[in-house]
Amino acid sequence: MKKKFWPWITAILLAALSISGVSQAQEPAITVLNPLGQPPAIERVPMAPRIGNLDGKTIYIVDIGFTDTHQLFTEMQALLEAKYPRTSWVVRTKRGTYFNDDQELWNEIKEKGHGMIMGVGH
Amino acid sequence: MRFENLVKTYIYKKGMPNMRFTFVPHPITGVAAEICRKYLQGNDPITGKSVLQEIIAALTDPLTSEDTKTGFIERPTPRLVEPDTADNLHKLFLENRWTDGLPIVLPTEARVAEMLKGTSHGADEFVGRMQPSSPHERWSYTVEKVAVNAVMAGAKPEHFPVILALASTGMTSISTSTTSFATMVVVNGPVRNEINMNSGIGALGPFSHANAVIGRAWTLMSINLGAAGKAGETYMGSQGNNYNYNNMCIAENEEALPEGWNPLHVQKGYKASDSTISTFMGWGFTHPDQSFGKDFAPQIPFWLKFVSPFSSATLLLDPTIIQQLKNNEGFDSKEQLIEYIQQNTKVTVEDWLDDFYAVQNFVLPMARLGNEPFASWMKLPKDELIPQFPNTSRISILSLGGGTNLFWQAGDFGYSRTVSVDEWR
Repeated sequence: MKKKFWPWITAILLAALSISGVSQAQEPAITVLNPLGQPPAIERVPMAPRIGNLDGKTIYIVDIGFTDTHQLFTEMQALLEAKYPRTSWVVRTKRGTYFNDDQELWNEIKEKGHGMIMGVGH
Repeated sequence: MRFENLVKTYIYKKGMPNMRFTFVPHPITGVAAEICRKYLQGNDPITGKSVLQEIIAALTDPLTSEDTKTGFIERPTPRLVEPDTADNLHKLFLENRWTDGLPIVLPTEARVAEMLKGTSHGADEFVGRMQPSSPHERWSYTVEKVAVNAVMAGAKPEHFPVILALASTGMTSISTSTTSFATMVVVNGPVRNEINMNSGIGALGPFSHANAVIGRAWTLMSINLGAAGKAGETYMGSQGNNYNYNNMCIAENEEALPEGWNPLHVQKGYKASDSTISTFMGWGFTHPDQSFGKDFAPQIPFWLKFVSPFSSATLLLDPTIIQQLKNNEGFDSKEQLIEYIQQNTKVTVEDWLDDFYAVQNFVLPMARLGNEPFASWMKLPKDELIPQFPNTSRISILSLGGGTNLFWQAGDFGYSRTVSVDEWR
């Protein structure tokens, strides 16, 4: 008697799978709104001309004021001075916190410097 | 490398995608000078090249034509997502990180239209701009965009003016900072009861639909309207903050305030009949115990010692505590208690200066600029006592809870601002 149940069970399973497949295929496509805000356009900023060689040049190393950046940059200054003695390596700390602008320093670098290294010792 | 994607995406958005950069091993904070030197003499952990040689090459190697390009890169956001089945759209939202990781309500046009009925403002009206923190770009958004995120959070039209008010602040709830900031939103005025916010028993718990969805909407808006929350790009919180799921969305228990104790929005110049939201920012709250047999106020300074001397303090007081302070200890207003706390919570100059991170990043730079009281405090003897909170505006007090016991919570949250909800009805 038991054997007679198997074809029925198989048929029911196949029917169930078939119904489920039909249901999936017929799930309607819906339209939803994009949740993202509008990013601003990006304005491409041309990079400053490079200096070719370092001889006789002044390079500013700017500490933005974050924790141990100053120590990292004074070490960097010492290493660069030893390796490139004909270049002037100037470490400066930006005024205020790292959120503040320092137009005076930028003006000074534009006037007296040939290049700038800026970074964060995080 | 933890910061590589941050740098690459940041310089792209600032218009210099080819800006030259190099890395040393991380961290640098607290590392001895000789270790710094060793790092500089070693290789960039990403490129494997000499750090010093990369610096010299960055200064001297000629530019390419790509480096000098000008013009604008537009990034329009389409209004609609490509039609698909609900299951696939849920998957898409999750994979695009447009959610907080939890299931959302799909923002169909019908649902968004229904949400828009919660305000008199037009769908295309500009609401504000939001950014993950001040150095990052600010994205803009309209009333409709806020409605989309409100739907996703599970909000109803009656919640929408509160959510719009939050959006109008332009304040993110998911700041980029490595310190893992959290935020809090406090609702005041008649709107609290109109939308059934919970300010009583379990006010901070998951027991109110309005509290839950308004707080969640702020998170979704911060992610989708404010470009926040992409770990490694616009989010760098080392440990993260669980408060970011709901942002401590609470309503002040104004009804439990005794005479003379004003609700927050009245303290900030609004009428009691106005409805407002106020935002706060900090890191966390704790649940201090207290000696029931003693006066409560003198215990507060002791418990606030865990708060950074350069931070703020917010106390969430159960109505039972407020009654004790008013009736047994003679504090007739929040302001009187705030002044007491400010005057009696002190630290030595030495302890204050020991808060390395805050002192290095904020106090010293401000003192160098002559900002008071920091410039003067820097010159005091190390054992001199100074106020832990430089002024009373750093301390906030809120009435919260159902009065089932004398408990309170204290945190390092600082008040940011209050805006009208009524203007967004």
